[in-house]
Amino acid sequence: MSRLAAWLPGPSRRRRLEAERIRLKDKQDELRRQRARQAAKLLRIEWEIEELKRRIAAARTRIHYMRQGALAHWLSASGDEDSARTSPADTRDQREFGKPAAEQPYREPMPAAPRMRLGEWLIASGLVRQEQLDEAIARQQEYGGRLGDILIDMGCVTAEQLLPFVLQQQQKARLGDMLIQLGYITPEQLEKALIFQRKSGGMLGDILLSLQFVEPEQLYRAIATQNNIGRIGSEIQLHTEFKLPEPIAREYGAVVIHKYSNRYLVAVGEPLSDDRRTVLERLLEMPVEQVLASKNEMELLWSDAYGNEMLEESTTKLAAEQPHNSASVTFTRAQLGWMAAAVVFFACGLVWDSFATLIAVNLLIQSFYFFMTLFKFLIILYGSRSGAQFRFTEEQIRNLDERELPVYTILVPMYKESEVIPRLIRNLEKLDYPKAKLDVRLLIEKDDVEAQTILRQMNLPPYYTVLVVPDSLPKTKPKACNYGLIRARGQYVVIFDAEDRPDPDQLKKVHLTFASCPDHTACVQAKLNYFNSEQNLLTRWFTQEYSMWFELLLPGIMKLDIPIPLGGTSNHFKTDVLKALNAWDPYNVTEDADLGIRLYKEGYKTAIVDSRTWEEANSRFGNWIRQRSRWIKGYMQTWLVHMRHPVQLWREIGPRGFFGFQVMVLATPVIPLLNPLFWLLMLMWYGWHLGVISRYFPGVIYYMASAELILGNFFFVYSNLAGVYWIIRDLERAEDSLVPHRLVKYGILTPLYWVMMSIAAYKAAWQLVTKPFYWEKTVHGLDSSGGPPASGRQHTA
Amino acid sequence: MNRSDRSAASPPGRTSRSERRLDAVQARIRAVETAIRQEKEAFEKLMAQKRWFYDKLAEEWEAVSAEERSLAEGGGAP
Repeated sequence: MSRLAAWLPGPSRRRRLEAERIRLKDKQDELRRQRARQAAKLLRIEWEIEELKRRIAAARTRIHYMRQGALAHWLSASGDEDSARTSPADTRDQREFGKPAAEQPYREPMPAAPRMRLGEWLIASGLVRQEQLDEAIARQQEYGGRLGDILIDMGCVTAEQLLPFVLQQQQKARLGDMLIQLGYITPEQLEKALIFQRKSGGMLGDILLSLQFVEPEQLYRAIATQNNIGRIGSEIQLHTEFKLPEPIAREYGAVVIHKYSNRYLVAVGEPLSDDRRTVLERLLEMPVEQVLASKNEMELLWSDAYGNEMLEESTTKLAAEQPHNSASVTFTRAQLGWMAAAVVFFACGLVWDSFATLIAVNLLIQSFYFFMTLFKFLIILYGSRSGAQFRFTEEQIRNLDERELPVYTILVPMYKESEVIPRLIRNLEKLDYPKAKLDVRLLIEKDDVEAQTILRQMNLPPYYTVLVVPDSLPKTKPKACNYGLIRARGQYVVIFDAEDRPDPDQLKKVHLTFASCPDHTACVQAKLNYFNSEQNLLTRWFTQEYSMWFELLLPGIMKLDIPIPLGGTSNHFKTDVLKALNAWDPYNVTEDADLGIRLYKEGYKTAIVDSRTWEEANSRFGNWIRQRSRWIKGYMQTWLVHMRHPVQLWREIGPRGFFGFQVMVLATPVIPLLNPLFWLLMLMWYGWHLGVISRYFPGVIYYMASAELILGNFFFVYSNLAGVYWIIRDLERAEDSLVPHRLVKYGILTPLYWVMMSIAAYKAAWQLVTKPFYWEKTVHGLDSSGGPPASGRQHTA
Repeated sequence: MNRSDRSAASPPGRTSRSERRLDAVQARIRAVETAIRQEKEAFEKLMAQKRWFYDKLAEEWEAVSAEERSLAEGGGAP
């Protein structure tokens, strides 16, 4: 074959090579898809096996008690036993779902035993016929509610006829006891859950769900029975004409799902207190019947009922309430006027005295380079000092009282990244945080059908919510995050990308950081780095750059107290502050950097914590250019937004903040734009010794330019290497070799990386004018390693 | 002489650069194909084991629930 190929004419062989490369890419894609499918299937069957094991264990315990004759004992003494064990005050307490364990000492509950259901009782009493019961159950399946109410509606029975059964059911057991009696959990499982609750706090129901001891349907049915309300139906058709105004619905956590002739049927996530129900009835001018919905059911209902309002809020709230902070307008008229004036001024200068004008421009640029380099050097110097980032020992983390930990929301926006979903779930499951206090929200775009299918098949634990973000422009990550934030339950909220692998103790470290900081610290940024640094030259460069940025630069910014452009992921916020600031700007393609500036403008501080999130470094040139051009375009947007009124900005953030803002936000896009011009001049000078070039570098300018060429470039390469050494040292303490010493030698080739940055910067500048809100998608899952190894990733100082 | 001419004129017994590239790409394709096949086989074996385990548990569940039903109805163990 190869001989035949040798006889082929050149262009044919090139075509063939091209075809083979395409085939290779197809095969690699096929391999990735196969791995994703396999991982999803494996997860699913493992969960199913766990479920079966759980059921078998529960059934065995019930059999054990039945054989000991406890069943007969329970049947003979059921009503009296319940009332004897509980005082009225106790009963009230027991209805409070998830009372802390310390207040609910564990008592051995009675074993599982079948209770007679209302339907069975009604048939046995001869009050209803089977077909009437079937019809009532069919109606119940539609919208939900209590069977008795439906039968009364149908005219089959009267309330008085139901009274004996209702009285018999009045004495409700505690939730755990009920679940055991219903045969949903075993006493051992309840014991385990209560031990867990004593250690970590939280709601008993949430703990049972997070431990997967009970199915959501079983738990919510028991809570509904406990609170004497019905469960939501499964075939709801929402009629939006009855819906409550969104702010009221949000305040009450209630969605109107149906209107009967005499009452409204309202879905609630938690049973309403009598007072709140009364207020709601006044608002609706009709009685209210509550039906209990699980968290995921409430999310689905909410999306159906208030999807448009949520979309509106996530897209336009910032632009409507704080137009001066929104990038929905790229260039204001005043900015366009200033730019036009600058161009005219420059042109006039060229006409008047081109030499003096170009000298002045060159002096301006050299000064800009000089001061930016100096300021960055200062920042990095500060970043290398101790105390620039918050560090916690393993002991401090161990000693943390888990009962104090708040609910934590994790937002994971993703788009067409199905192949990394199994890895994402595994990484989130490794987080050392009570699962019952997690509120994981996976944000999927509506047209990402593959991800939706995979996630549906995975049967995720109930602390995961899959939110489908409706299709609308701008189709950006910040819009998806805003959408996910609206109903976030956590006191803290963090963003992780789909391919992220956060250190398992990161959430705890962040909690400790917030606890150690003043109240106005509203954000904690964890450090990012790459698990595939060794994949190729590009990933090595990228790792060096990130090491410098997150290990030295950002801690230095924190120490100097200047605005921090946040990293794209692993930034943890206080949810109330984030919501008050209108969260992320959906029109800004580096919404993270912009938010860091807005936090600073409002007087909030950002801290850096010594915890890492391992990401996948971009390993392909085109993919890297796309990502970097988006970042640079976003910095341009951010600068334009906040420099609409420079004097006002100066007053708001002071001179230090103002200069810091220019160094971090202006220099990042401007320097790679300017670099090619000076590289070209240098090439022409050394290559052809063009005298005209030397004329524009007289005296001071020459010395400044030389200092930047030699010292400036040395400093930038050196700071990258220092960043790498910083992380290598940290990893070595944890006996991890993920970032090896050999990475350092590639620092010598860093100038080539700068050329790539300039290419990306010009693309960004072009896109800023032509497609300012376009989100250049970065493809993930291109690393060959299949993600970071499981061990050796938990670091403490 | 363009690049393709040069490669065509390479001495007999030695392969041209484009040919070597082609060979390298084809070798990578073969490696990926092998990985696809091997991973598929390994996965099928693993899934077969898991299914076998699942079926065993399902049988056990059937037996246990039958026993429970029988006890609940007042009888002894089935």
